[in-house]
Amino acid sequence: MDISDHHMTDVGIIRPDVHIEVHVKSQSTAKRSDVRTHVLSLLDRHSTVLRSFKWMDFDNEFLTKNVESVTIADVTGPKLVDLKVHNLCIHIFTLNDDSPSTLNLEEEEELSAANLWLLPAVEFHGVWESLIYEEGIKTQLLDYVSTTIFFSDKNVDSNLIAWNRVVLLHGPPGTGKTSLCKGLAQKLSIRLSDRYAHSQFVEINSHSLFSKWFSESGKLVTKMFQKIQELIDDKDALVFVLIDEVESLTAARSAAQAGTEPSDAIRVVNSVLTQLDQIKRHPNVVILTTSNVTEKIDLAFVDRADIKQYIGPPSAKAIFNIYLSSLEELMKRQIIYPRQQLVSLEELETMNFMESDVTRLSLCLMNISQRSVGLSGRALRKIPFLAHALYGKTSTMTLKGFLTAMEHAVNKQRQEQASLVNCV
Amino acid sequence: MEEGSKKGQFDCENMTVIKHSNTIETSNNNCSNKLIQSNQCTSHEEESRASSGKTERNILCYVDDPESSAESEVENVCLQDDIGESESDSVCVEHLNPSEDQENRNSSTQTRTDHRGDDVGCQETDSLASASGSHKDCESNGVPPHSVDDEEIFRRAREEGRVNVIFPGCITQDGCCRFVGELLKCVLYQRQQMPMTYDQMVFLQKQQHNASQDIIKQRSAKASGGLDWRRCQKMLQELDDVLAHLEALFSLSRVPRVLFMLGGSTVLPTELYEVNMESVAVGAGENSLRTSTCLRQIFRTLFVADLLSDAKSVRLMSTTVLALGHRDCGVTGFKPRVDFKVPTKVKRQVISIGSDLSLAGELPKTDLEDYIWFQAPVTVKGFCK
Repeated sequence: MDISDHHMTDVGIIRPDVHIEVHVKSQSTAKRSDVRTHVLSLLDRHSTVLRSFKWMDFDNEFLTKNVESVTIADVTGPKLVDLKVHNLCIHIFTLNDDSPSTLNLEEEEELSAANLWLLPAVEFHGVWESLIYEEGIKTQLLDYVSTTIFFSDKNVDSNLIAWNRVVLLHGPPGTGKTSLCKGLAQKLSIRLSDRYAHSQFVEINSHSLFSKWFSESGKLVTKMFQKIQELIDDKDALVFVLIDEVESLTAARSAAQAGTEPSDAIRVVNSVLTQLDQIKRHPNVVILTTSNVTEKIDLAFVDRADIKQYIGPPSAKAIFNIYLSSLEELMKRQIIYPRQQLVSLEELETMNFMESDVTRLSLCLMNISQRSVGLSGRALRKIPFLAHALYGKTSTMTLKGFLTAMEHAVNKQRQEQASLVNCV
Repeated sequence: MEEGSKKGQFDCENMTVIKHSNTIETSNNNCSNKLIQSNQCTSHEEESRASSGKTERNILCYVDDPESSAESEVENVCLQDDIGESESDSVCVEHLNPSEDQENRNSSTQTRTDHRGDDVGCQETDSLASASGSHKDCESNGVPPHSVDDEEIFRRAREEGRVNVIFPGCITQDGCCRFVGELLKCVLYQRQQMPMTYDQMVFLQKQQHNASQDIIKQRSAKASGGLDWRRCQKMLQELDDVLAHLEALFSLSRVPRVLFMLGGSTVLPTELYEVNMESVAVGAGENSLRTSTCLRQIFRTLFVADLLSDAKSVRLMSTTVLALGHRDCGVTGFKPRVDFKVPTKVKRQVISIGSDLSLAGELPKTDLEDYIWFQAPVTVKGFCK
């Protein structure tokens, strides 16, 4: 009775959102409204689906011709999703396959000040799903921008409740901060495609903003933000600005008092801070910044960041999931053959980590994951490659043999780290 | 008493003048006419310049007949007596016109009136002369209607960045495709993305191809002018690909608009050119105008409009071609851009081509909602020698 009452209450109050991402083929010329109609009829015929399910083959001729995939995206909660009791949010998108174009500050110069992608981009496809973090970091970043748009649409007085549209991701190198920015921009451009028909991703090359001439760097920063302003003036465009390694642009000004820094660096920081203050009046811009050394960033910039998120090395659980996705990919491509079942950590916990024929290989993978703690995500993604390159005897390997090779590769990484530390 | 004596002297002199005039009637008439004219001129000049007037008067007296001696004496007496200007004028008039005092006054008034009338006449003559002159100038410098349109074309191109070409009939679909192709080549050359015209590059490429089979290559090297052949061939290949894709699209669908985007990206191009053919009446071969004639008119209008002139040197850029085609035309080479929006931040140069509807008949109403933008799969990269 209590459970049913709770269920009824949920249904009565609000229906949670389920996001359906519809990937339309790049060659399709169909209208968005037609695609929506056909997808709704498809979902109507499959009322209960697995969490994070993905359709890639369709009975419908229209969908077969025009749609690449339909995905139930980012669902938390039980494994089975009853679509009838959820609010379906359908996001229809097409990937842009253009190579990134360049923004030039000067008519005469060939120097590329920034790279510009149209979102959603082929280059960023799948990045979001491949990143695995703890503590719901990805969900928080998604909700942050959604709240930004929501507050702006409701005309919240920005003098009373202010936000600067700046996100600062910091942490040791190799933890996927830049990839997280790209994946976040891609995901948001899909999620908000009804509101913003066009999205752009601008990756600033910080090195292009410095000059050999004194006081020229401040001007270059201003010109860069003027270019971004031109993009933002289009109200239908959602603009993401990525400043990678932001400490080079916002070095602490207090260091100049010690006389160890040129005063030109102060001008650059001042210019960046001024431009950020101007840019926050616009609802359709998000500035994503990453840094490896947070202690060197100017405090004024740190203070302006709405979200200061630490991205640390992955835990054993995250490493397990990273390895699991890698092995699934290799079995999919038949590099590991024959295909064998690997169970997830949740299932291992359910079975109290008892060793059996079903769980033996997964327990072995879990041991490898625990011994991989301390490696960065970038290094983890290289382990399967190195395992096959250094310890693979044949092109095609069994899963058991591959796990042995991975263990050797992890040990080798450890030894290399120890050697480097000893050298220092 | 002195005043009375002076008056008496004047009367004696008057009688002397009358006697002389009576002796010879014919000569007197001529003399009087001349004197009247000269006096009028003299008095007129006196009003403007006193001293020079007097000098001229003396000169005129000397030139006159032998009787001028008496005239000069009379005038000298006037000067010696230091009579006011008005009185001297009246005295002169009295001498010229032998009559009683009352008649003298009336005659002097008439003289002044005549003088003014003459001035007015002169002014009228001058204005008439100038009017006739200006009229002649207008006629001689007359501008035919074509030149007047040329000025309008130039002004509109400067102010609005738009060129209008109106044809007096239908145009074939293949003709529209040729327009776009030739305009693309023209834009690429004029904006310095090609070191020479497309046809010249093709010719040199053939020459190079023939020369490669011959032993003598030095001559062809000189003729080619040191072109970067790899870049040249690559660009020709890219341009031919774009032209072929355009031809395929034009054969499958009506194309109301074509965009040439130079530099930057499709979101923020450096330059944007549009060929707008929404007003073109597409017809069959026999009922349509000749394509070559229309091309010449288009390029003549472009030349007059001075649309592509820019003193600023341009960097090498990538050129992307987008065309508006029907949603269901089934074209394969192009990439559909359902969400594409024409950039508004860039100054757009529009070449608008249309048919005169009074001659070509009504256009079939096209639903542009069923048309989407298609992007050419190849971008043309500029190169220089």
